[in-house]
Amino acid sequence: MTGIQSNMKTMREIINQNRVTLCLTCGKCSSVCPITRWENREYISPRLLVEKAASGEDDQIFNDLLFWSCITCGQCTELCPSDVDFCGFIRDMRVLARKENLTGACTHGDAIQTWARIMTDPELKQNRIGWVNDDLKISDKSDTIYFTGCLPYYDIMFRDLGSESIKVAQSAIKILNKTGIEPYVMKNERCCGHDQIWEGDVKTFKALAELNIDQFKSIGAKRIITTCPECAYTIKYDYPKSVGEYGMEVMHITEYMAEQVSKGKIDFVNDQEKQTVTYHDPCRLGRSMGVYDAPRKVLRELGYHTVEMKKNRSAGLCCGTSCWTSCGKTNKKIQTERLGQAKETEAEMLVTACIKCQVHFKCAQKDKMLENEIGIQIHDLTILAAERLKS
Amino acid sequence: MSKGVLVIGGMEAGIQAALDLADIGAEVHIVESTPFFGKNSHSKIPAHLFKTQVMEAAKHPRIKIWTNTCIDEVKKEAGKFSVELRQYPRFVDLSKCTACGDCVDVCPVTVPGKEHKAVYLSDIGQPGCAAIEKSGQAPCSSSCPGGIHVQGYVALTAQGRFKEAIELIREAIPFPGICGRICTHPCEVNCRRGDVDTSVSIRLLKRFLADWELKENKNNPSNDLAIPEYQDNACKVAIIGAGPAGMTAAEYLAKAGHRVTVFEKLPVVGGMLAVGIPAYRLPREVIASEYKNIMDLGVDVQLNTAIGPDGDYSFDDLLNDGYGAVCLTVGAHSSFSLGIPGEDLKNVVQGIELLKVISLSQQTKGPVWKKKLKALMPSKKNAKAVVLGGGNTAMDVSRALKRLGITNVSILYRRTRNEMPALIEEIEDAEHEGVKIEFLTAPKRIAGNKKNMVTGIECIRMELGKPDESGRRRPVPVHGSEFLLDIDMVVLAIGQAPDFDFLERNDDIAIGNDRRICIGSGSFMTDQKGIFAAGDAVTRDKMMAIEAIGMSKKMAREVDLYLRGEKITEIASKIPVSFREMTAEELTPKEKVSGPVLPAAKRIKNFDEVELGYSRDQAVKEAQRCLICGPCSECMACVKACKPEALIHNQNEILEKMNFDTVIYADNPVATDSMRLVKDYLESGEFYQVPFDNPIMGSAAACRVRSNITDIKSSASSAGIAPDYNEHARTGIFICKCGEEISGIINVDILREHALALTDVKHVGILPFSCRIEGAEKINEMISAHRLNRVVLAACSCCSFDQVCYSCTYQRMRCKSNLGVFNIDAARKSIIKNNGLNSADFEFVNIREQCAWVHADDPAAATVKAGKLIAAAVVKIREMSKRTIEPVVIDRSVIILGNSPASLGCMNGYEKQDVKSYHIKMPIRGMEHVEGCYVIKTDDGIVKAAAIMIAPGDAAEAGQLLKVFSDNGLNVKHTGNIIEMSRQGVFFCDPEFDTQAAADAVVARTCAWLCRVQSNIKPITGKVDPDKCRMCYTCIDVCEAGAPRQTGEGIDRNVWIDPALCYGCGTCAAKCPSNAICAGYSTDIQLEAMINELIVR
Repeated sequence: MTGIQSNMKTMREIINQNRVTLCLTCGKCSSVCPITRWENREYISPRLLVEKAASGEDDQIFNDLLFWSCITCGQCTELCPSDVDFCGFIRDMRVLARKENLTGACTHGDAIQTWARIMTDPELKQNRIGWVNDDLKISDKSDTIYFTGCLPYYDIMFRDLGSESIKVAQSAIKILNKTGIEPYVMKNERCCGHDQIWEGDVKTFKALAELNIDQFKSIGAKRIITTCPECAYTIKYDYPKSVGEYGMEVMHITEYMAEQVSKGKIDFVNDQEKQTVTYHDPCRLGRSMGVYDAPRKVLRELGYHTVEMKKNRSAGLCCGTSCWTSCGKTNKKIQTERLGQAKETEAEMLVTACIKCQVHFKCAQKDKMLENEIGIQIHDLTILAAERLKS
Repeated sequence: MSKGVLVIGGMEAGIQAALDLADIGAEVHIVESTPFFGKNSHSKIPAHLFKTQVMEAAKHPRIKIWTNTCIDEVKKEAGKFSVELRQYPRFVDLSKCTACGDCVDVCPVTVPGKEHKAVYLSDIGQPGCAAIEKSGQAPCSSSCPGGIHVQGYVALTAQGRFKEAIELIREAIPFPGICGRICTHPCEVNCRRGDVDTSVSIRLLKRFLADWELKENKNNPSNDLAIPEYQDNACKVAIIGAGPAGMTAAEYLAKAGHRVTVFEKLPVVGGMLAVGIPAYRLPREVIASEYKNIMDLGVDVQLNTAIGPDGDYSFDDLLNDGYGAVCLTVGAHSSFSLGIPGEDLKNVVQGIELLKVISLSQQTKGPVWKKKLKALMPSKKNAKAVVLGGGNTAMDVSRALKRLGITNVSILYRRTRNEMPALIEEIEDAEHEGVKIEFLTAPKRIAGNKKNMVTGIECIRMELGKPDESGRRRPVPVHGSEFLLDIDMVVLAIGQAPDFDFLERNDDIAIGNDRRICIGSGSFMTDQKGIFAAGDAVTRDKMMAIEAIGMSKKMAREVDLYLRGEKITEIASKIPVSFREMTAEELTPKEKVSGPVLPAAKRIKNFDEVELGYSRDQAVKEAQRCLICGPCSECMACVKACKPEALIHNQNEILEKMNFDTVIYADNPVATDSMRLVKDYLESGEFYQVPFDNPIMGSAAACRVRSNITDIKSSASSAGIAPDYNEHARTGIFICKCGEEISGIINVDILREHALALTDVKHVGILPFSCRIEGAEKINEMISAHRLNRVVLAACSCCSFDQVCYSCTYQRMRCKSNLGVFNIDAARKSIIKNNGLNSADFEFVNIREQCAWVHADDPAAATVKAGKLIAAAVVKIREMSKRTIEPVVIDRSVIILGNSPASLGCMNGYEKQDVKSYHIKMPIRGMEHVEGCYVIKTDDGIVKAAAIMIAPGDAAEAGQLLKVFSDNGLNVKHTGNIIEMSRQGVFFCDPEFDTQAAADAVVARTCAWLCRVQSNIKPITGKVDPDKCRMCYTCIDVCEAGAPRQTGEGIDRNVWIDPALCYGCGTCAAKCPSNAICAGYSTDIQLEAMINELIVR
């Protein structure tokens, strides 16, 4: 795929490029799509939408309920025997939709999307390292950049949910310091643009990506480490495609930790009583980047007993919402289903490696009446690891 | 008068009792002795919440608030209480004041012992309008016949505000310089500082101001002396006599647009001022200068022109010449004679005549008057002169004689110094200049020689007997005490009277037995139509310039009305004289600033002015001696500053007698003296007494009072009439100038142009003050003229709700009241009734705080922003969704929970008020709120009621009962209010309180709520999209009204907002993470349209 950066593609091009016409109508996508499963207003499925596109009912695509509620979790794409890239199709089509002033229904009063738009201002001067405590070491001359992402924002926005966000970032620095790295943390970092590109707002995405890449280049590092799977995926795959190469390795913190464990450069305290935990695969880290083993390896290394949920790894269920858009009862049902699966494992704790997964699950858990079905502790892997670092 | 309840005391308890009673339908009058309803600083209710409560009371259709009011009398008649209320004037119109504070800024008076000005605003007290502290007119102002606001110019002078001070005087009289010299100053006579030490030298202050003005005008000559342009039909007025009375009338009438001609018999202007008062007291330049001002108005003065049968023109001549009115201001230039032998001798001269001859000999060129003077004066060297009389004329004559070279001048007076009618300073000055005064001495006979020259005067000593009709002790001759004085001249100064020769053959003008012209009382017209009279020719007791001026001004007003053919308008009522109590500290003596004078030795050599006048500093210092009697000085600075014309300085108190079924006393017995009158009734238990700062006891009293009230109107709700939104929007925009608060920053003309260009806008109006009733009337007029169905009012109101909150101001509340926003049904019905047209919905935009005030430094930006906000409001109101206002009929019933001993009292209380109550025993198996009712399942069955009363026996039970609510998904919290819980319809009976009081209070509040909630249905409630609702409880947690609740089963539950509880505020919509709630006040569609208008366009 070449073209987001070039001229806008036509609908036909998008359909062709994402191999939509190859659909065999086998129905595998519909059987795994969580939206299809829980949306009870009308029957919607990836297959139906693809059919509309393939059969030339172009005007029906934007009106399809799934077109805006698709959470691009990628389960359909994973299973498709014809390799139809449904998520890519949705993403590219949303660019066209936005041209016609159509968008999904924003949540949280559009606040989070607004931050991103504010950050497209090249003149914007930020000081985004206020959370770096004295005991954390960062450096202006480092070959590793730690990309913080939205964590500090979520720390404020979702404080009432008990979101662990800023602690995730602090834990990451702690781990990097332990392995001898004093990372570069960008004072003027911009949002990675993940939500924008998946919601069709290419203009904002490109502006953010360009501003970030300019900084990457001026810093001259070799490697970027993130704690957010969406940041990792977007910077690793979408930046080179849409803005250009910048020649750096990008990895998620779980990959980094697993690598260090293998190299024997990091040790954890793991002699305590074994706790049973279950790991939730974030979509972008799992299905998009194929990182399934690294987090599990770290969990074992931390001394946890890991049990798998009914749906795991490439079949893992999404946390239910994406891009801070189109959230509602259906999404809550997906979250309830996923938390129910976690509860079934009888694990004491659900561990994720994505802050958004944590926020979405904790939001669902606000429903006190479902305490018995979905009540389980939720923690972030990076924090657990940092807490068990051998001093 | 209305039947109902009287609440005495506008504090926490009183307001609460009034609200509780009015809500259930009682007519309530609440009386507060101060100008502001205010809370106690120590009470538990926060000031902002109390303010809201007072505002609720003020806008309540069944509550009448009385500020500044006390109870005058209470009588019991036929089982009712007849109460006489006395409302003292506020001097500020509550329907007009905008609380801008302009008046406070200009007020020169700080009330002694207080920190505020005489006109002041309260920070927290309501009504939020100014009040003037004025217990009446100051004695000085009140006693001025010329109607000058004396304390006012003294107060302004004390602040160095001379220009305003002299203008204040000029508004009343045209002669500050003249009166500043010769006025007999009744103001000083009545000055209360006179009781402490010496009166404030008010006359000298006036003189200073006149001198200052003259100097100022010389330094900065202005050409603004505009001669009035006469209309072709201007009336001609003839004034006979150019004395102070004549010229005062001339000024008034010329300013009123009439052509005035003044006819003067003498060769000089000024009348008695010029020929009766010697130049050393009143320099002729002063007269000339002040007369010139009047002549500059176009007044024609014809000297040496006599009117009358023997004069240059007859009355008929004048009337035939087109004069519409003639004013007789001829003065009193003839004298009384003594009636003793020898009066016809040479060198026996009338004082008035002598003074006239002296004056004219000085003021005229040519020998005529100088010769006359020479003839009157004794030719002998070292001549001795005697002056008979004790008035000011006697002093003037004797002092003039001294100046003419007669060294030996004596005054003979029948009584003592104390009875002398002359001013004390005149007497002192005369003595100072060497005039001898023989008291208790009366002439019997003037002796003369063969040449008919005076040689002596035989006198007799007197003693004082019983008082005569004038109140002074009558002098009685002492037998055998006669003695003879050798003298060469006798001057008679024993009184003067008008000279009516000119009227001799005119029978139509009646002359009284007392030699005065008879005029109609109040009309100033003589018996002949069109001929008026005023001044000394009419005055019956005191002849003095200021009296003549004051009287003539009144006459001129009548002449003007007569010429216009208008009826006499209502005469401004006079307010009483202030005698406020003063502290010992205020009453400490302050030395008088004496004005500089010429030394006596210099004085008697010529007729130069004796008094030299105050310097600037002396004037300010003397003015600061004023005791601020008003305390308001009536300087009228506030009136000039007040743009909405809200000040009424001549407001009088109102007495109102009313019958009440019952009375609640909730006043502070220490701070007010209302206790005295009601004491007996309180002791006998006929009145209810509650602690003024305890709102719970206020409610309890309301409950107990309920049974005493007859004729409570049922407050049944009616179906609302919603505007027809199907009709295409026809929007009217009204821009309030708020005096200059808005228009001083925002260019309202540009704004109007901008608004006219907006879609659907059919009319744009600019209002000077939208919160005055005239504003509302104009809007209603335009609604019908342009068939408007939507109205945007750009003023200061910040929301379009039909309720008040602590951000509200009295003015916003008043504006909405006038427009009928609080009582939508009634207002719409009345509009429909009046116009037969559709009604309009209102949207308010606050362009004062949000534009004019915050962008005061950038008017252009403020104007642009105001334009945008108006545009946004226009699209918002265009997108108003169709909605009907349906009444929610709520069963008058209450469920009582808990084992408090109060619950039994409550049940009795509810029964008396026709409210069904159910006492439910635990355990509770379920609780719901459905269609405005609470439904509770117990083992005995299901009970349904509109309200719940929680009546726990102790704190532990209270906790258990509250848990029942949360267990059933109904959120309920305590509020600052104690009785009312956060959820509407849930009440709490605190076990900490006195059982019976708590029970009564809860009953009162419940009943009030039951009535209120039925008649107050909000058309604007939040709506939930069930598919978007994640059931995260955020809305339930934030809602103060407890309106959102969950509905449905299991995972399919979602929130539903109870329209019976929702205020429509939109807090839930703002907080909902998945944007599932659409606020009623601003729907998403409206918000989007507004944002589009504000930002995108």
